[in-house]
Amino acid sequence: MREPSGAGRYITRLRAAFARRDIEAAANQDELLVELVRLHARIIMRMPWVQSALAICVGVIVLPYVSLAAFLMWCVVSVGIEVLRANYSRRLLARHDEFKPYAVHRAFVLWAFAAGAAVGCGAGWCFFYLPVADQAVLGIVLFAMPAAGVAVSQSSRYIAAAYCLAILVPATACWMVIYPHQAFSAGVMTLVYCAFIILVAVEGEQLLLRSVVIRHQRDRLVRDLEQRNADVRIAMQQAEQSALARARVLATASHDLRQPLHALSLYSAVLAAGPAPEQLREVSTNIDQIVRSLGSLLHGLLDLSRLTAGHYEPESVPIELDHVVAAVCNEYHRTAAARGLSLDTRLAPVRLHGDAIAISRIVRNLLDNAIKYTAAGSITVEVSPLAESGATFGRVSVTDTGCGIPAEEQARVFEEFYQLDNPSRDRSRGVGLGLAIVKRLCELIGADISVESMPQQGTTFTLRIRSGREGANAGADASDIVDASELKGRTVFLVDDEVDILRSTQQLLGAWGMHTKTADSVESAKQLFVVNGVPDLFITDMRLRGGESGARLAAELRTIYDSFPVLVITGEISAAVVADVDAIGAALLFKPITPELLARAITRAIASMEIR
Amino acid sequence: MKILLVDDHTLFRAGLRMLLAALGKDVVVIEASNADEAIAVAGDNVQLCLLDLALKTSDGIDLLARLKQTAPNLIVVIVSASDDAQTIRACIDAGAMSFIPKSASPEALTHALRQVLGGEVYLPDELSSASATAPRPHLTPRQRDVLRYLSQGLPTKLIARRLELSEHTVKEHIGSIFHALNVRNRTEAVICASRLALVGT
Repeated sequence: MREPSGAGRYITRLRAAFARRDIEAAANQDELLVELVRLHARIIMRMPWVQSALAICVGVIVLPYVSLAAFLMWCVVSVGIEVLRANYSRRLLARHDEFKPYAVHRAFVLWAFAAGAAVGCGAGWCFFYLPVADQAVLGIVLFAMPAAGVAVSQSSRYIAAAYCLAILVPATACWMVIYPHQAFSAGVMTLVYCAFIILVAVEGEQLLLRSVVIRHQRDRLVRDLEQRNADVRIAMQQAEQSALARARVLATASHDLRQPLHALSLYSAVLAAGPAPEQLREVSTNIDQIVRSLGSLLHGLLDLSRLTAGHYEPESVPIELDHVVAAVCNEYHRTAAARGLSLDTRLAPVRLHGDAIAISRIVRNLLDNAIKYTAAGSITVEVSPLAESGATFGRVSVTDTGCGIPAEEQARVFEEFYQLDNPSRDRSRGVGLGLAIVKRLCELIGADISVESMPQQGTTFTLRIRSGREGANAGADASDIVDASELKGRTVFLVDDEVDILRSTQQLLGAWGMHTKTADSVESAKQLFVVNGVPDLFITDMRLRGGESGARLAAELRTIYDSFPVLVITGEISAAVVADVDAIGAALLFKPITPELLARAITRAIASMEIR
Repeated sequence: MKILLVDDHTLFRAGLRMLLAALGKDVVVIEASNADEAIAVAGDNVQLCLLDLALKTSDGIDLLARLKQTAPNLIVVIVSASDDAQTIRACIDAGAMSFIPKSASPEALTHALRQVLGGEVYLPDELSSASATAPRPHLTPRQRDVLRYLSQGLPTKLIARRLELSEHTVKEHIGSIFHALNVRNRTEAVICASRLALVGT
């Protein structure tokens, strides 16, 4: 196909723009037409006046030669059409946007054709009666009208073409009949003129289309910008809220940590003042209670901070959810019985991929909570499978018959330090971190936790655990389940500056059949290597006596002896500690440590070294 | 001696009760865990009240004012976890006689309670030891009496009644005490008196 030139190219391009399949082009096209017909309608409303003036002027030229009746009839027809067209436009504008742009455009094309034809036919008829000079003047007027019509048509090439052709074709035809020798040149000139007029209209159409597209883009930009602003505002609000929440946690934590310290200081003064012997028992009970609450507060804060700092990486290994929950329930039968509560379990077998430690911890905290807030009745723990949209879910619910949570408080129970009905913050009722930890853990393992409660009737916490995907390391994880037999007979060097911890850990490791040698300082640790050689595993506390670092000690020993696996235990949660430990390629374990955690960490540390 | 303990922390209250019993002879301790309990027993011939400023359910300074209203003769000692100068001044302003920070060391706590039981004023070091070496201003015995009652947080009218003087005379004494101590108001006078150990034994 030949490349079209000039007008053809523009028309092709415009048609391409109209023909684009995407919604925006369609919208633009629609909007273009709406815009066009409205502008056109607005101008058309003035046309009766223009047409009347034209009729008077034409009358001055033609009246000496044509009959008055014929002229008046022409006036009535041509001005009448303009009046009707203006009336149509006025009604259209009054309807605002509720019209079909295509239909209206077609109507305007017909109106333009009628108006043009009235003028063209009238003028052509006049040509037969006029002398040459007046014919020329009328011809000039006729050829000027389509030029004005382009502006009136508001760049619709169809309207412009209809008006232009309707005027000039009959008028030129009459001229050609009167002056046959000019027929060819008059016809060609008229056609060229019409083509030019239509071309100008097409150019205008393009311009209008471009302005509509630009307006669309601007509107979209503004919308995007507003959306973006809204997003930023929401993000800022969230950041502010989380900063507020952190500040609140910090303030409460510092208050809650200081209160028992003050009390301890007071009891120290009591002891120094020499209390009566019968008071000593009360003093010791109270101190014990304070220390316990202080301890659980510190543990809670450390756990929370560990979960927040992102050091806990949940695993996705095959677990039997009902077994995990049953093990936790077994820990609580005695506590529940001591408070006169029955602990009922309905555990349907559920197998999924998940993190047994996190789930145990969640269930433990929920049970703690249920027991704390239930004075009489029962606690029911249920495990059931759920299958939703093709995925496997495990559902764990803990229901109590306790005091319940008012609806307006339900969202707040997961906040740090929030405690129901404990305005005086009596610490013997716990520190208020249990559910905050539950929520954080749920976020980490991607589980949903919800609460339903009726005041005075009881509360149900429901956990929905989605089975994790069977990752690439699932096979390795499966063999990873704690198995003390793998630890049997291994030699461990254990370094910690606290003798109590050394002794209890040694007992635990001994129970798993490990041979443990202990050291409480850097020097005695080095001595162990000199005497016994390289162990199967080296476990050290991060902070050792005299400001020494366990990671540094391990690094130093590694430069002297063969490579051996290292497990560093720390109570500190700081980037510096993590970096130190990473630098020597050692495993890191955060306090507080449970036997399961320790066994798992040891198994991994040994396995990782054997693979190498 | 009948002492009222107001604190919402049960274990702290118990410790304070034991310490008071160990330090003072014939001490009867009444405990209250909130404002209403405290007001209910305050008028009941209580001589000394140890008040925690940070009760969860009410403002400590408010309660201090209400206690002084219920029992104008009651000597109120604030025991508080906060120990900033502004809080201490506000308490003295509101009529407290002494201020014991909970964060004090065991020895300091014992010392503070001993002073309070002995009828003396105790204020934390940072307020009271600023110019312990300053020369002691000369006060007449009458002015010392007035200053002692001021330290107990008594209003002018009660001081006048105690000393069997007219209110006008008491006001004049207070004016000359201010002048002698180079202070501008009662609070500063009480703090200055405590600093220079002008009242008490």
